Amino acid sequence: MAVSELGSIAEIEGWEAPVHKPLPIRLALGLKNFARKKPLGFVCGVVVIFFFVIGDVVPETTNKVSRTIGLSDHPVPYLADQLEQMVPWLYPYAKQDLRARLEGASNAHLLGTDAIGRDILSRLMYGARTAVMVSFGAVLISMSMGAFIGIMSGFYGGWVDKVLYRIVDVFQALPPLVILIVILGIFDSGLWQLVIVLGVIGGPIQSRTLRGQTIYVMASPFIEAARVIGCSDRRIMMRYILPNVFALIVLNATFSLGFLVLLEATLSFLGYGLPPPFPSWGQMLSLEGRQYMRTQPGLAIYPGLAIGMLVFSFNLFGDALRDVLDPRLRGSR
Amino acid sequence: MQKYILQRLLLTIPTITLVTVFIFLLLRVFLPADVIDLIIGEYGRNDPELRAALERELGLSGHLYTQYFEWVGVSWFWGGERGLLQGDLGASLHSGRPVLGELQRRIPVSFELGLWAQFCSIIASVPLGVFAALRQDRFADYGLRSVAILLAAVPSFWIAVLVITFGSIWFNWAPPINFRYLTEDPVAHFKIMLLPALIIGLTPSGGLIRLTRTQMLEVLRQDYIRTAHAKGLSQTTVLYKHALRNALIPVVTVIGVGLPQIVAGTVIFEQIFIIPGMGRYLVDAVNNLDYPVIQGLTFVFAVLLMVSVLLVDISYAFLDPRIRFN
Repeated sequence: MAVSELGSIAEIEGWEAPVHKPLPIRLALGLKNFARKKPLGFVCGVVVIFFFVIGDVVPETTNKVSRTIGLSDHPVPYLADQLEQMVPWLYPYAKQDLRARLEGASNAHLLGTDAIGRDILSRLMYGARTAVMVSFGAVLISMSMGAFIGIMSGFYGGWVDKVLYRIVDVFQALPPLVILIVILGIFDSGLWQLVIVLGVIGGPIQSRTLRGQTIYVMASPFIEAARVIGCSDRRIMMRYILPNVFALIVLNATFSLGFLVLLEATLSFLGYGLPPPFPSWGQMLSLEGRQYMRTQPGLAIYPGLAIGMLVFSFNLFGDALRDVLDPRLRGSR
Repeated sequence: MQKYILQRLLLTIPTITLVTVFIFLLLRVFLPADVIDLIIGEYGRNDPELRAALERELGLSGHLYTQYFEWVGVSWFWGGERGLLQGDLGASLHSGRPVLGELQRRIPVSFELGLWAQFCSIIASVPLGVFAALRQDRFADYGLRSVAILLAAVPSFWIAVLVITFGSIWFNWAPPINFRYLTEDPVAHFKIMLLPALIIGLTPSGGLIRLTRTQMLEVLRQDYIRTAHAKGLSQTTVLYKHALRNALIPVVTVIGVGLPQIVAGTVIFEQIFIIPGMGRYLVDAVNNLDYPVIQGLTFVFAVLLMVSVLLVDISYAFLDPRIRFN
């Protein structure tokens, strides 16, 4: 049958070509659907976004010099610096005021001040930035690594699989907290070191499930079809396998986000996190919190609450996402 | 079955070898600060002779591979020092005490803490999980599930900090500072261990409650449960003999794999509650760049983790006949 005999699709009776709405509208509709199906998960997603934003409104420097952004020579006022002038209770996170040490809650300091007169609320807000940056950065690295190792060993099998799996075994044999303390304790810790080390340690462990899923996908007829039409290995991996394991990657990512926030807090608590003036929740609980907790119990309470809230939101958001993305697991929580 | 165990045992050999290579490379090649510099700093003079003597004494001279062979103990076969293969983990650079002797005192403490934590968590969460499954989608179920999710989200060291803070504010109580070993003073020992164990057990309980509940629901849906009911067995027999046993198989895995993680996780509580276990030893060693101790400890942690994973896999085979006879 020649193609012309079929006629164009639009001519088939009683059938209307679907109108493709523009992407933003489709995204908005998807979000609305998600919100209706999983209200709790949606709320938790909003909380996560709230934590994303909140760290960026805290001014970084104590002196109010406007910085230039991009190529323009004109000093562009930094949003956070402007906010500092407008909002009376917002301070740079490292600004000390030794006359106002360990003050209680007041209009000037909504949650009080710490032992060297820094505003607790501002530090708490900036700490969200640390938590979010570290967890997302590390997840990005570990997921890329996990996907690479998992798909490679699932796809090629044979000696590639064997070699990669001995390496994965090594990483699984080392307790993460121990190896992290060793690495971060010996090297100087900083934001990037923390992100990279956390990511690299998690990568091989993430590859386990992805390898299994790859092997499962490899058995499907469409992979065979792709081979028959002469696709290269790389094309099969990128265009056929990756999209099919992507849902699993997203799920693993959301679940490890909460775990990473906890791990970062634990490391900072032990003193292997970010160096001191930079606020992190775990660190606030350790040095500052424990010494002065009798006079300022807020130092012991709020950072922990913030960690709990962020991890809780990540976990519930992940649960909701799993229910929507993976119909097989629905209702089996 | 024996073939399976043998196969698993053989597979651990390359993994352990690679673990030692990894640890060695990490500490000897990528190590930025030179330990010799630190020690020479204590002498207050920097002459090359002293440096060479120290390097020889600490096993830092020669090629990297000879250093590695010395650490692992391969060179013992042609007349070198004793190494890992002979059960010698080396000695601390600072105190000079052998790592093995130090570990003999510290491993039991950390393990005891981990076991108590595990025990507290299992005792509380398995019955709660079963209870939640039996009351599916009712108030108790929702309540327990929320508690479980909360427990998994809240950092346990925060709870420890809160307990210490408000213990001192409200009751004028502080955790004891002097540690007592079990053999010295059992009562004081348990007083010290109880609180950290309870708090460490909280985080895994969250996951355990959820897992037990899911597994229980899964099993209760099976046909053989209906058959058991139809045979006229009592509710308790069906629950404990037929359902719970099968539901607990994955729970056993999680518990077994979780133990070394918990032991590693005691690091933080050993710092808070001042308990002389492996975690404190590790933190002290890292702060002093005491690399024989770091190497030895990391190796011991890795072996512990691998042994428990192995034991779990084998017990899995015993519990699940489908694996045993395959």
